[in-house]
Amino acid sequence: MKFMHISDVHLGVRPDEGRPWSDQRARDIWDSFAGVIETAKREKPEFLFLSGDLFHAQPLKKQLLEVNSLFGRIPDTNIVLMAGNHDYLRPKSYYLTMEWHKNVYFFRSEELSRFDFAEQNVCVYGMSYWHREIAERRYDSLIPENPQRLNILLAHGGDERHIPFSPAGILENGFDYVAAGHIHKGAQLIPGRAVMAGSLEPTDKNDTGPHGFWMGELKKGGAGLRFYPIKKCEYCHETYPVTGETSERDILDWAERLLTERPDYQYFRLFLKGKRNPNISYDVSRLMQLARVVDVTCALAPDYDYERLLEEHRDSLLGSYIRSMRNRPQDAVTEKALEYGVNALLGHEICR
Amino acid sequence: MQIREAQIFNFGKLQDRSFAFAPGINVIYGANEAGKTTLHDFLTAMLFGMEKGRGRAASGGMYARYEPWHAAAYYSGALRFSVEGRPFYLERNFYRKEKKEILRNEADGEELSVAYGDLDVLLGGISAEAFRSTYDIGQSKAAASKELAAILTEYLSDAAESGEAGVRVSKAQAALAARRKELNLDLKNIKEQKNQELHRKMMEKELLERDCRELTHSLADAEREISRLKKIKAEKTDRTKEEEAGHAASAGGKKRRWLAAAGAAAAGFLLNLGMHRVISYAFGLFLASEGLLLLLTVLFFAFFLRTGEAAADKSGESLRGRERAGEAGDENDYAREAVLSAEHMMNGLRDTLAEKEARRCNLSQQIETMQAPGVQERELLRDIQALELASAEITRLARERYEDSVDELNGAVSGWVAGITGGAYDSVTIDDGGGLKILTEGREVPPEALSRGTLEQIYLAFRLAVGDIVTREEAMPVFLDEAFCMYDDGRLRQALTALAGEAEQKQIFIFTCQRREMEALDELGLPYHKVYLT
Repeated sequence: MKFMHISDVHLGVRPDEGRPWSDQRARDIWDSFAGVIETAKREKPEFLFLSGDLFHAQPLKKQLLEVNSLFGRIPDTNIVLMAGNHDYLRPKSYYLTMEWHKNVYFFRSEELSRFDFAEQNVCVYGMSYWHREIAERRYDSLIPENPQRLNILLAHGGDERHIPFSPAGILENGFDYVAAGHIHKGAQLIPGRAVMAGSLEPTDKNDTGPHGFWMGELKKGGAGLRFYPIKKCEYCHETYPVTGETSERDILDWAERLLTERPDYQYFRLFLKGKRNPNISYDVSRLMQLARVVDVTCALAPDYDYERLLEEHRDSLLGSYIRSMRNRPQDAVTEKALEYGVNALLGHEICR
Repeated sequence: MQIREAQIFNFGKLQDRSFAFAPGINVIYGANEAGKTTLHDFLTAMLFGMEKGRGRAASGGMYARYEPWHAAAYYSGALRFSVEGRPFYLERNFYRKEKKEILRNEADGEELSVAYGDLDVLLGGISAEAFRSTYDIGQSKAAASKELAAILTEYLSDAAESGEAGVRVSKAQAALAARRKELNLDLKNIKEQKNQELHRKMMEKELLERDCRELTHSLADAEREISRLKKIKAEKTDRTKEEEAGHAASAGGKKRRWLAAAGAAAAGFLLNLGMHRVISYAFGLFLASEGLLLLLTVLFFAFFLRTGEAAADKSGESLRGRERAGEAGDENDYAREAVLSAEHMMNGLRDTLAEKEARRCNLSQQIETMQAPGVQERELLRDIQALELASAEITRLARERYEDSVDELNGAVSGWVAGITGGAYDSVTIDDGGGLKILTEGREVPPEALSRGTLEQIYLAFRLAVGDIVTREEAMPVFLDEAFCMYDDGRLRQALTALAGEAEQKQIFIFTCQRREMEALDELGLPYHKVYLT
């Protein structure tokens, strides 16, 4: 049985709000979804699985009509979908009144149910979210009724507030394949048997790595499948190791080089990490003006050698201060307080 | 620090004079008016400058006192001194309009800058105020305890013990407070920006909610109208059968009734228009729901009238009876269509309502997300918290160290007091307010009960003890200007002996118009350097 599996398309999301490419990203996500339908038209899979969060929020009628019309372009593919935690069902949701094309199978209930496809000998189990969070382990105890069928679970969740599940346990219960969604980083949880599709496109600057869809051939006992990346946008987190000698120009050069060397669908979160000269703070506004730079984070500790300072100022207030801060329970505030206090006591500029 | 030579070019009554000093005790002896105080003030002015608010210079208008009567621009002098064995040359012109300082390392010729704080570093970071309150001792300047306490608090808490300069508590606190203020401002700006956006979204949500309410009402009204319409239609159908043989109505009457119907419908429409505050209500939406009501109103009247007409017509000539039956069929079709189109419009309204509900729900979630502090806000809050923690901890540690130091200081003061008074008073402690508690033979003696001389001796001890701590970075000279007038011979000897014990570390300048200090030193066999002022 040939199938495609996508998830977490988040139609309607506007990533990187406030950055110049935000609108383009919102359009790209629609285009990528339409692209998947085009691929399905070409590849003619028997099934297309959408494992939740097709929309970023409550879908508007116009959006659903658009989606349904796209579904109508591949009448020979059975489309099975569910609502996830983002587009969860509400009593007045258009999902419920939508007149889907007849190749579309939508799980309406929050109770687990199934669509049986006798012709293809396939049975798909699933449910929709009616809540933003479901913490119970709904999937783990489900046992498919007909072991002769290719039993597939369309699942959405996998973190503690959204139906945690054990893919191995589900397969042991008799499922042949788990088509999962919710976690945006795609992976084969169990090769050929359980796949977290990942989001079709990254929807947030922290969705790093490649994104796309899965396509394969499912048989009893597992699938041979492949990941097909979509290269419209990929977020990369890049770190510059700052030392006491680093100049603002060094960082700028590095960022500019990154942008020329890397493919133009990559967008960057830049991190400055390491030790800085206590008297230098970097102005990152120039970096923010560069194209494809999403944001810049300075995680720089001043280049203090606390051991040496302790040694040199053993009997002074500075020494007591360092000791006292180190004796506290360590957290982000204490860490910063140590830095600020030493800055102030040494008469250095207090940089963030 | 050792002052080796003072060259006075032009300073008050002293012109073109040069004085050499030796390490240890220097006695500057001169008759009244010989210029002892002038020389004393010259030395402090050289060390700390003569600006407003700085040291002795600030008190008593020193600038004016020593300003040359002629050649005001030539108001200057020089000092040769050494710090840690390195010789320095310092020259100042005090003249306000051409203030100038030269500071040079005479060993290697390196030019230093007074303006950039090089001299401060050489003086071990001691401020003019701190110096004035400790080692710069004049006659009857005993009652400086309050100031001393303040300087102590500041200085001791400044972690001066290990001797590193530049570690200053109050500066650190000021820097932390300034940064905190900046961050709070940033936070406020972010919040304000966010609140604006939040406010916009809330307004939008409120409008949507109102639209939803209005739509729900409109739908309920419309539903009632339609069911009424259906009921009338049913009744009409019944009545048509019954009233087959009714009376005919005149054509004119018919027209009038139609006009009345249209008029009533328009009135109903306008009434509704008034009821819904058009301005605040999305206009398109208004038209849609009003349109539906208008249609329903018209339909209602049309049916009502037609029913009547039909009844009237049916009562007419039996010849037209069959035609009428055909017309009634048309009417039924027409009515069905009308109801259908009304229901169609209602579905449209329901869609609009659902759409608005979805948008309202999405907005609610966006608002919820926005109300939680964002990354930037959280980081700012964390940093502000860290600044507060740093500041509180520094305050606590400074206080702790101050208290430790006070114990130490009490020991030092007691040592000096015992030395100067020859053991008559053996213990002096400083209370929280900076006051002195004096003990003799285990009894506390109130300061008022002490003689003027004894009190001066105790305060001298106190100043010297504080001075010792304050000048740990660099041993500064001690200036004693007619400080021993109230001392009897015995106490003078004890005081000089005590000072001589320290003279190896610090230079001591005794300015006097009497010979008794020199005689005492001679008798005690203590070495000193004489400077005669004539």
